[in-house]
Amino acid sequence: MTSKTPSLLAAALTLTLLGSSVSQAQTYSATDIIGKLDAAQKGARDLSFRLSGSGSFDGSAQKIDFSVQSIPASSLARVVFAAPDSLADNIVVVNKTEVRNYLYLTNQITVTSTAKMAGQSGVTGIDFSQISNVSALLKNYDVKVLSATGAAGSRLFTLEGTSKAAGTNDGKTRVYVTEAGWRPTRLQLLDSAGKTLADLNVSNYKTNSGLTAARLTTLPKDAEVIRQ
Amino acid sequence: MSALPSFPEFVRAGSLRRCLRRSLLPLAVTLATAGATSLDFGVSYAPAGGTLLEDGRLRVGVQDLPLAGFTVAAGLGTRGLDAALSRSLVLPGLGVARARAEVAALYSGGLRGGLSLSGTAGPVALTLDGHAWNAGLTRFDPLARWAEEAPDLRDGGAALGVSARYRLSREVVLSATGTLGGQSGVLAQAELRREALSYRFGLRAGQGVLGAALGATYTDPDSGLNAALDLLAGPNTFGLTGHLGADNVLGDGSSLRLFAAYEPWRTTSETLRYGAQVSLSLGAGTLGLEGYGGTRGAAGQGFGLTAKYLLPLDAPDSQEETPAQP
Repeated sequence: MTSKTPSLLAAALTLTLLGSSVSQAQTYSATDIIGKLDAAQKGARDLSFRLSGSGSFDGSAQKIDFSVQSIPASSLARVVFAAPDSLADNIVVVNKTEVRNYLYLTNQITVTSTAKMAGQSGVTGIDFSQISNVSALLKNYDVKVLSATGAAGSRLFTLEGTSKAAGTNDGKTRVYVTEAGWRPTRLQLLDSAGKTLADLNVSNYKTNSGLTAARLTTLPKDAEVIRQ
Repeated sequence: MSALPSFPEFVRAGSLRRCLRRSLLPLAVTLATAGATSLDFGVSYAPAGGTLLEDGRLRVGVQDLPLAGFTVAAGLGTRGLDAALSRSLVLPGLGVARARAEVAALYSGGLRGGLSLSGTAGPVALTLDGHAWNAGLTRFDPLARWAEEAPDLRDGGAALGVSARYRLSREVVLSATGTLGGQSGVLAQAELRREALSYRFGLRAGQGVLGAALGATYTDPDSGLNAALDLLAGPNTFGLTGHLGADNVLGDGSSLRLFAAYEPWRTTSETLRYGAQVSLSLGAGTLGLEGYGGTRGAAGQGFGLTAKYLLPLDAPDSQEETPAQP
């Protein structure tokens, strides 16, 4: 995947940071939804959810499973991998200035500044520097409402984000948002040809569960630290 | 008559200040924007019948200093100088590749050099390292002979090491480590994890050693308590090593580690090594107090103590560039 691949996790986090709100029978534009998202992000003290499904890395399908915990106000997020096996138990901790990646296999922590990481999404297609940063995400993508299905009050909106970068056709990110509680239910990453690269379901979605910055940033003390 | 100004004249003329400004300013700016450049101070002493200066060591160093794309560490001490250069490439979410070169020189003549290349990508991790030296390790660091990981104590020589780890599945990791040098050998183990316990079993074979290598580690994810025990048992070989570690028992941010190793099969390292390491948060940095002991060659037992302080140079959330004032 190129560095311009839409950031799956960034889309997941930013478009899913919606608190509960009164559902009304009205049409929402992408701007409306994103406005609610921004307001809710400032409202929720902490957020956690699990993303699981499948994705294809270099052509072969693999199981993907990771959990996210975040404190949006501090731009702090913690991602713990459960699948695929090769990445299981790896932990990524992102804050305003650094991205720390704990590698289970060698008991090492790599530290990279957020500036260096910006735009690098690597094999996993996840741009960790964009997590919890709504305005940064919006700068780079066009978001539109693809469809709205279901009964009023519990409709399912499909939001699609495309990279704004001129001349690129690097694929799209789709987020399915349910009007009932304004929760994301599903995330899809598609390539430029429209083929699904990753299809993940959102589960265990919780807000304000009392997460602390200390809990989010804790990593094994005896790990070797490698700075880039 | 000397063509060069004398030192006092030099200072008075302001040249020294200008010279310092030119060299310190870029350095200070680099330090201020660095991730966590730190200064470290250390004093060690291991009585061996000589004077304080002969048996001890004072050292001041800098770590994690970014310079021209590399990360530099350097130290100046009463025994000699040392420097290390490393460069790493982080593969986001996946792993890291790193190259590191280090060199140490003694004032009394003696050189040590090493190169290490390592990489981790997904389920595979590989490390290659080589060292060469013409002065024994204990001349550089009096306490090095009792390190938990047995060091090569020969007075001169070279060693090559290869280490590979492969994650077979979520709970199983295969690892193999080979050394070519003082006491060449291979250690191959499979690690199996079950909740908080991790078991190792495999084989160690080499010059003067052959046996089954078994071990277990317990890690409590919440409290940070960890304990490990490793046993080597073979027809003519026996060895036992273990460690115990705990966090925050001596105050917030502290850590304690105790270890002991009894390895009579080793020919280039001390057969008995034990130590206690304590690290505490003190002010802006970390204070480390360590005590070691064990056999000292053929001359019975010995012990040593060291105190060190690691001071990060910039505040955690500092994002300002502040040039130094000369």
